[in-house]
Amino acid sequence: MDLIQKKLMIKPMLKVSALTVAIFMANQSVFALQALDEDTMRRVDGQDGVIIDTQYDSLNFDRLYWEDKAGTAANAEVALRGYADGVSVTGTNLGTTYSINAGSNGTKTGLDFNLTSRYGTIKADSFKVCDNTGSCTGVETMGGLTLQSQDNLNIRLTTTDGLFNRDETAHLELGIKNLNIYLTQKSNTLVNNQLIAKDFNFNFSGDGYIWVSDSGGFTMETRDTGNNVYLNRVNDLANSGKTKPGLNIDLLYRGGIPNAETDANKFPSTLAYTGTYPAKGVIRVGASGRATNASLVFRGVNASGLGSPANVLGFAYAANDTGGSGANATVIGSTGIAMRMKADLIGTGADQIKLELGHAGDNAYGVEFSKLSPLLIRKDASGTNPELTNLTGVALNTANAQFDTGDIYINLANSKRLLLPVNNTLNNARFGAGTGTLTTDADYQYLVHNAATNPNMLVTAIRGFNFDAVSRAGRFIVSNNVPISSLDHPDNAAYPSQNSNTWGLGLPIYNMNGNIAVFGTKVGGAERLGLSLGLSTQGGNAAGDKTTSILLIDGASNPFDSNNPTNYYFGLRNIDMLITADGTLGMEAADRINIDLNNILFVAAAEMAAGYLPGSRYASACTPSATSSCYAATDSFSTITLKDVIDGGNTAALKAKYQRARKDVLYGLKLKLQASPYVTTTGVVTKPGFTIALVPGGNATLAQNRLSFEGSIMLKNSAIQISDPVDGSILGLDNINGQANFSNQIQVNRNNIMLNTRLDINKEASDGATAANALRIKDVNLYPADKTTGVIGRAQRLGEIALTGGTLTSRLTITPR
Amino acid sequence: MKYALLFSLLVAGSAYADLELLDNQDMQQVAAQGGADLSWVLSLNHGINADGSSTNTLSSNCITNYRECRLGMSLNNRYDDGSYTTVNPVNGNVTVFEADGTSNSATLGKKLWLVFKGMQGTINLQQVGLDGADLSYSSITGTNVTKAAIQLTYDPTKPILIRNYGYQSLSIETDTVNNEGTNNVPGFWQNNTTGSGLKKLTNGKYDYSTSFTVGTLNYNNTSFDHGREVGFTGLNMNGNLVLGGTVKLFSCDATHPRCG
Repeated sequence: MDLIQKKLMIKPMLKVSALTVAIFMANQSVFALQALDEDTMRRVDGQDGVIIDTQYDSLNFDRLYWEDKAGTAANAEVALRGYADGVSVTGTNLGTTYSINAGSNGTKTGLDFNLTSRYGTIKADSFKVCDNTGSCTGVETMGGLTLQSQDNLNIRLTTTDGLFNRDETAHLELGIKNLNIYLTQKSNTLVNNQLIAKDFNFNFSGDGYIWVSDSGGFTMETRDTGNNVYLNRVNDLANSGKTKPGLNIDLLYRGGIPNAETDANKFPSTLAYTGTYPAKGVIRVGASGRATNASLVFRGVNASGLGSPANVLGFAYAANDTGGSGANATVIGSTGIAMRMKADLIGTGADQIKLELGHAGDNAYGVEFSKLSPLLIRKDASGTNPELTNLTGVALNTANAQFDTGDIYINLANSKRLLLPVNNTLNNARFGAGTGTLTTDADYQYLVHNAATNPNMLVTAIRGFNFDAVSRAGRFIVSNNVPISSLDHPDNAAYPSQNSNTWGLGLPIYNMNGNIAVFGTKVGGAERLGLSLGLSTQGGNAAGDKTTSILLIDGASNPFDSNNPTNYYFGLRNIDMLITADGTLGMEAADRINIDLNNILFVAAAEMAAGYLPGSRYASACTPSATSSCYAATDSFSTITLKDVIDGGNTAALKAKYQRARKDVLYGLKLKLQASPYVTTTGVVTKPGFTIALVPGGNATLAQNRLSFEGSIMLKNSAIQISDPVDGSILGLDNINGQANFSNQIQVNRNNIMLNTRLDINKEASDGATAANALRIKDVNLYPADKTTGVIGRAQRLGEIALTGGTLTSRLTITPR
Repeated sequence: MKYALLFSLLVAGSAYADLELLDNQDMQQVAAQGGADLSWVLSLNHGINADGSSTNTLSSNCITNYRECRLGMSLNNRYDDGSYTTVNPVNGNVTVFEADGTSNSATLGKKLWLVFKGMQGTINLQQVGLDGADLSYSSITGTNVTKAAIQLTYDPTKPILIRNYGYQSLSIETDTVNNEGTNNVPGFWQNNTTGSGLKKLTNGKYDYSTSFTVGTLNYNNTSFDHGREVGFTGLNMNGNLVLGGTVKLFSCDATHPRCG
């Protein structure tokens, strides 16, 4: 055996005696002989391989940084750095084992690279974005970040020809398993409060082509139909024999920990749900299963010299709100990171994609969604017969549901405002007296903060996110700690009907664009995360095969369609939406995460609709004969408007298309919600326009686990409009002003979902009830439509309504059958 | 052959009778398993018990701060002095007119409000089945249209409970300042202390604490109106609304004879 075994002994914190080294060496070889694990096997098999084993007791860095260039309003680039200060790596048996084997089949040489890292606990005391001088004067921290590993990190790359070859297949595994991630912020009394991602998993494996190029950066794609990528489920360390999803984000809150506590108590090896500092579940999302036709790209970005909107985030604004221009004034600047991931999600079979959404931690119910399919159940193969008229036995659409992150840009930036792509539907939707519209271009160049100087920020931008999927099977699930023998378990045989899997939820998303900017700040001495959000979605397209919707789906089997799912849907469809907000997020209290938004704008236009998903076969014998129109039109989700029909020359084809698009619509709904800071009767700004706190219920029992949203809002010039589905005439509750406190709870139970709402109108804490803070719908307007031009007319004022105060409570329980 | 047909019809008839025996719940489970059952309690200005249920009686907040439990409505162009506005349909310009039709330096008067006082109520929809169902109708052109509808199924054994639903008094109130000017107290926020005798109000409530006699009737602090908010009528509804059968909600698009 010509096995080359090379051991690097790096012990920065210890003086190593020859004896110690000898004992370590001896231990290693004994270990290798005794435990025939995968590593060891490869050591034997890989006859010409290299194994590098590094070991260390601990690592300490004063400062690690990432540098990124950003444009400024003064048309001069600056280099910004994201600093992680006070970084330490601690634990037992720390180290990394690299195993590299090369093999040849005569003409091609492949490589098997295998990395296993035992990385213990990695802790950064603070994270800040500062300039490149290293001086962080006046810059506040975003908080401390801790990564606590309970499992090794595995990376394995097996290639068939060379390392990065565009034309030959490779196999990649990336296993981040059971990692606890802590974001810790200190209150003004230095009490530590933590947001925790418990048992975070990203357990990926896939086959495809991996290469690196100048233009495209790092790319991995499955390319061939036989190649798949998997998110494999991961063993649950706390519950033997059970697993958690391959992508698992289980968010918990843990507060009230004094700064003097030991690290062992701040970051315990096992999080407790009771006792001194109990962890409380906020929300959990998970995904596992198989995808195909997938690709992943990482690349660099240079926005320097690009105009708006090609430069993605627009031009930088100075703190005094003057916009910059020029090659060196783009928000992104000349450097940045971009990535994009897309995949076809498999919706059938044992390894189909399953999505999980529910309460977090132990003693938690949730909902699992499966049977993913695209919006179109059948396609119009001819392109001229969307009603599938006079056809029998039209084949189902065999395409998979699709997921595409679009372009994700990660940058350090310095600007007062950021740009979102303009949504033309909202920009053209009639609102208010005169010729006003729901949004204008200015709403998409929105404010990020309200401070006197621009903070340096970390900005993540998403452009063109798509999720073309509806789930036609839903099921209640429970956390692994609850045994199936318990009557509390949804799968307990005593409650068989709950898992009939014939209801589902559709949350398809079309062309979502978003910006999230975060920066460190302090409010009243407490560490907080400065936060700005911009998010928009597009309702759909003219063809009707893409949509942003929230749909309940009845997937019971349809005997008229070979027992395929019936696909009744009900909900809000074709949602055009814009949210912009700026404020801060903090973990100041022991029991809640609070978000204070100085300004918020939420605008949406959607359709309340009920019908069949496009291309579904009707669930009743259709008349006059089975060969006539028996299918829901494939373009029933089209966004065509009456104005489009008229502008297009009023042709019969356009009229018919418009009628098909209206068939399911109960009414159109438009919302505009704006909040502005609360000013007392004496003119003092006392609190942000919109405050919302996420209050977890606790995990001691299943009954306790719920999520509460509590806060208050000062409404300004908001509106709710309901429109006629056919001609578009609008009844508008416009110009809504007033104050309200709210307390809403969502609780998922064994077989139902409970939604509780409480609204206290005109109950501002400092001033109490006043005439000025009554909830007033100052204009109830009627906007008649002109049927000949398709134009929505001027507002006709009917009057106004005032709710002086009081309490509205609602308790809604939904029990799927 | 005829007998065979008759026999089959009889069998069909008895099978139908058997199906009738299934209760509504069973029917739902057979017909549309993918639906959901909703239960919904909606409560306005009623107290909340510790378990989250409604006390079905006016909340203490509304007893103490009675001005906060009102609903005011003001119809367009209703001002105390008859003034009004018009909107130019072409350019949208708003012009103010006095009651006599003059617009020269015209100002709007005090807004008139229809105010519902002591608004309250709890409605408990104990169970509603929510399903998809097909619906068929003859279109405006005479062809048959099949479309999906939302089907709500009510169970007669689980009536809709209506508790203390209504308002305590209804009155017409007026703003205190023209055109909602400075220091205006809006009509919906009125709690006047005025008048005497039967019209004596203290903080917007009838005040007969000093007893007096009108004709043969004596009014004092035990009289019906004493201590109630000023107004001329009230409404209070209690009952169990029993509904059986289904309601279908569907889009009334241009093919429907009513909406085309």
